Amino acid sequence: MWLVTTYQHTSLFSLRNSSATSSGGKTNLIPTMYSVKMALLDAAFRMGLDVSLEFPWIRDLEIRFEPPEQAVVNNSFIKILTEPKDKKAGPAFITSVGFREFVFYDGTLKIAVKIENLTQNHIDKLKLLFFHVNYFGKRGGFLQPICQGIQEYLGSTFSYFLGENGKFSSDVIMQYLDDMGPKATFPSINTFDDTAARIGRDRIMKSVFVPYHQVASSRGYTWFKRESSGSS
Amino acid sequence: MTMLMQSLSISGILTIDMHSLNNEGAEGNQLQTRMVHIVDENGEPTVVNAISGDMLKHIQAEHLHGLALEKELPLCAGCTKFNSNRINADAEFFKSLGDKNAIGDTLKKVLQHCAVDDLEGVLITQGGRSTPRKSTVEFGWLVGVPEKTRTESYFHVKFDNNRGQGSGDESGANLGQNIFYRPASSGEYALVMNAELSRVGFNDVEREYQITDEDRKKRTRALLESILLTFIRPLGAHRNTQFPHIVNFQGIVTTSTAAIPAPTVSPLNGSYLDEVQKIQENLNRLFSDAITTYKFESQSEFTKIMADLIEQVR
Ligand SMILES: [Zn+2]
Repeated sequence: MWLVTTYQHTSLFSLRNSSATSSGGKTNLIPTMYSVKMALLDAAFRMGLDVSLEFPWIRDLEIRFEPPEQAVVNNSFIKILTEPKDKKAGPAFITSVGFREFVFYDGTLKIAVKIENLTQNHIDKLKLLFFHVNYFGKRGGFLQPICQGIQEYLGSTFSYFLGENGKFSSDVIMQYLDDMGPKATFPSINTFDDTAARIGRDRIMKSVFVPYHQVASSRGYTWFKRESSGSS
Repeated sequence: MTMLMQSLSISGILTIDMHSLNNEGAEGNQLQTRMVHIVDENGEPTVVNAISGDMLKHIQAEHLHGLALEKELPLCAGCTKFNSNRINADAEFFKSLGDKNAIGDTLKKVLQHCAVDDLEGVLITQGGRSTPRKSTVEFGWLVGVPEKTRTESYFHVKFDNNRGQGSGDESGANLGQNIFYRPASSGEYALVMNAELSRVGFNDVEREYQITDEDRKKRTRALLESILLTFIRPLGAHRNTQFPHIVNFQGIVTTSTAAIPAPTVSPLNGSYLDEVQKIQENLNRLFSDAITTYKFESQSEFTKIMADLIEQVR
């Protein structure tokens, strides 16, 4: 059983791949499980919940994505503020030009969460939390929740993990997406706490198959499509 | 403070004439304008002119800076000069700070010391810190509506007496006569933006407001006024020689009195106004009538809606 929330992107999306350095601005094709959980924790704050109490069950959520039917990744050079090499002398930030990718989506993004092992109280909270989210990734990459429902099974248009068995699309692109590790602690993922998130414990990388195939590409962009929902 | 509005969003079509807000770089004496590849309403790929959200935010921040000076809101040394380092450029301020690990306390002092750092956000890095203040206002990319935007290249001659005027010439030759091309784009652009009014003066670590109700009111009003001015009186790159003209603005303002964000729909969708209202109906069933929408057809109607909302901040 899955709780599926449908979002419409209302602007261009960008979420830098965790392995990228600050000068390499490759984006993930879809939000990551980590970014969704962070957005849910932020939503919990805004709903006035005690986030340290909600953290364990949100950390452990199993999340899948159905990407929009089409995605166009744009390569772009934009002005950015960056810390200079010599941090002691001179200004805190200097202006430079950085490479960034921005994604235009056609169609809706669906985010599915496995709810079999959740209590009714958590499911009820989760339903509300998803309506409090209006971006994943770079701020300004707005999206809008439009509907929500429960599905027994996910079709082949959803993402899956390396090594999983089942009826999945074979027309896929693999992405390394981050998730919260089962031993992650609340202080380590809290951006306002000095405890650093440790890769491999608090933040783990997973190989995710995204049901996209590349249609065309040039110097400036790469265009992806997936099969239509309903077919398998 | 009796303000009920917790967030505000705008989805709209901005018609701009002859702007040069979005240059990506220069190749020789030719400035390149920013283009993005999208899929049109029929699912076909197309390429359109676009302006990054950061550019709009820069324009809004510049208006806010002017308003803050005029209204005598507190500003740090960096923001007084509209320095992009903001509070990081305020050496005196950092002397007044204590333990660098007391993040909640650092944020509290930042919020009290500078209205622009509060509203626009900053990454505080001085003294070995790495404390983020998330902005209360964000803009998405302005994306050209397919078939309704065009970019042309104009031939310019720059004379010696124009030196240092920010001509955009990046060939290095800045003496004598100089020939260059500059693109100018015109047309309809889809815009989406959001402001989190409930976070004005709010310390995300301590979960409490750090300024008085009266000051929150003043800052919230200044923030809304700066957003209004962004779409009425644009600033930006090359405005000395190529001032962008906003010819029209139509769309929909949404507000939320609850923690759910005021909704947006991409105006690239031809029926976005109806979509926003459908979303409003659905959200209001779940969240007890938290969402209100205000359609506008022109800059003057937009101005009236914003002026009314600013007046409600009491
Ligand atoms: Zn400042």
